[in-house]
Amino acid sequence: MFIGAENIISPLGNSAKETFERMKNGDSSIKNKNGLFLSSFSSSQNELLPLMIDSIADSISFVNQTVLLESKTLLIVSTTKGEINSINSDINKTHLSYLSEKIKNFFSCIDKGIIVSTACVSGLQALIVANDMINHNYYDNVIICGGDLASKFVIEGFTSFYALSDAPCKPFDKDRKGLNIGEAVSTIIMSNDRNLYKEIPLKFLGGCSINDANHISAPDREAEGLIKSINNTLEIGNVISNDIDFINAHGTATGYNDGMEAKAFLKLDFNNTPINSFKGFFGHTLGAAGVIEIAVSLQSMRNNLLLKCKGFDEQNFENKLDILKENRELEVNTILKTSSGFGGFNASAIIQKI
Amino acid sequence: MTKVLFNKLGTSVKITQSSIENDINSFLKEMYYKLDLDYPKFFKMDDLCKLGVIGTEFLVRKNINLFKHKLKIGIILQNKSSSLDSDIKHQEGIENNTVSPAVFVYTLPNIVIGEISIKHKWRSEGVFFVDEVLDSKLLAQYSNILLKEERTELNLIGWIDVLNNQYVLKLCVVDKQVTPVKLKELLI
Repeated sequence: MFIGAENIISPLGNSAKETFERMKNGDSSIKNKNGLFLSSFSSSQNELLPLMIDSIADSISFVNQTVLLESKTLLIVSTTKGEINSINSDINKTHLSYLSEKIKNFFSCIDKGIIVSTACVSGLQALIVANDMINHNYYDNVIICGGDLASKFVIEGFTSFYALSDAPCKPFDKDRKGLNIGEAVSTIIMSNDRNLYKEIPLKFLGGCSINDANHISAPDREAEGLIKSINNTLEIGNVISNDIDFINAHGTATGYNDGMEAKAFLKLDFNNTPINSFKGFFGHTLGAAGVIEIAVSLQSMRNNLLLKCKGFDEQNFENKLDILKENRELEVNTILKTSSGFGGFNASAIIQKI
Repeated sequence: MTKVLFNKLGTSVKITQSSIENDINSFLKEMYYKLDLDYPKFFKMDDLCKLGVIGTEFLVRKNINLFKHKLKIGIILQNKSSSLDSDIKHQEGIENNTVSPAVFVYTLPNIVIGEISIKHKWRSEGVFFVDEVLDSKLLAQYSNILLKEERTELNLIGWIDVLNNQYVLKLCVVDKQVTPVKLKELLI
């Protein structure tokens, strides 16, 4: 299905272009806040809903709104914690469907709203579900909006896991020490109609999300779930591993996650495929991660410019992987995106230029 | 009393409280011993996961032939309260300075899919949706997509909700295309 009209609202900017420009220049929004390294908005955001509405409104400005109104449109919100900051003040808001209901009522073009919540895989899985729903003619268009805030709730939780780095994170680096929490909202629109888009869209070839049945909070060291996910996705997208020009990995910068991903890429012979993670620019944005990282990847494809894996210096995978140390100009036609998360979920998807 | 009901074919199970007095903990413990689970990991789980594991166990045992030799078993679940029952416990931990990773890990609704997958060694597709009420149309649509594309051979579909000692589970197993009406009947 066609994919485009991407928006990003992140501490690096209020549009996909602005965020991409800042990333191109090597800027990161990860800052030391009283000893805690995180990427957060300059003015503290207590609520997710207004950001999601702004993000969707910007995405809609990149499409033909008459076409959108006249066809059947689904909204998929991807989030892990929604309005978790309201847990003590207004518990009703913390029900995730509060977001899909409010957004659906705000935009007249949306016929129905649903929520996908599958931990750090939520965003990528929302895009996969969107593609599936359009492919099977249940909807013409899907607006996918992913978002999460860097709440005390998640920061305290990840701290208790000893998963946070006490410095800017270093994805795929031999000295990686953990992740940084980030907050962001991102929107992407998928459609069966190329004419919906004002700019040339790209094509989402498909994907899947596979459980590794290993452990609820630790990745499978043999990477079997991710390998299976990528193999299934290649089959669904009808491409071979040689067709993949670039991989945007999950790359949280925890020892286990990046090691697991590296193992999968090596086993699948992606030795010469450029790989990066965007976590060094805006941290781990949880339920937004899959959407924002695809949005940046779309910008990369549009500009034929792969971004460096910020924070990465030296690998401990026998130098067998091509992890991007600097920005690289490259004509990229087909890309692979991967995400893995709590609950043993491993998602992957393929995007191609039309 | 907490009721455990099956349909005639045994392909769907429903667990409901007849009164809010029925404590979820004692019910889940009773079911664990009744099913003779012998799975110590069970006691580390939050109530949402325990309920999902119990419900799945009932269906697997009632449908031995259906599950036999199946490798691609999809899990499509939905609820209203996400992981709010555990969220409240984690929030209390923050306020009392007793935050625990063993609680925090359950503050995501899809963990129940992980626990079921681990218990049965199912390495296949899974997705968790959240909505105010059971959306049998969406669940049927997604189950049909996975089966049609042969991404799964069998799907476990259901509604599972736990919040403040109120709980409900409606779970069924499907190996062919299903209409939303038929699915609604299965999950009634």
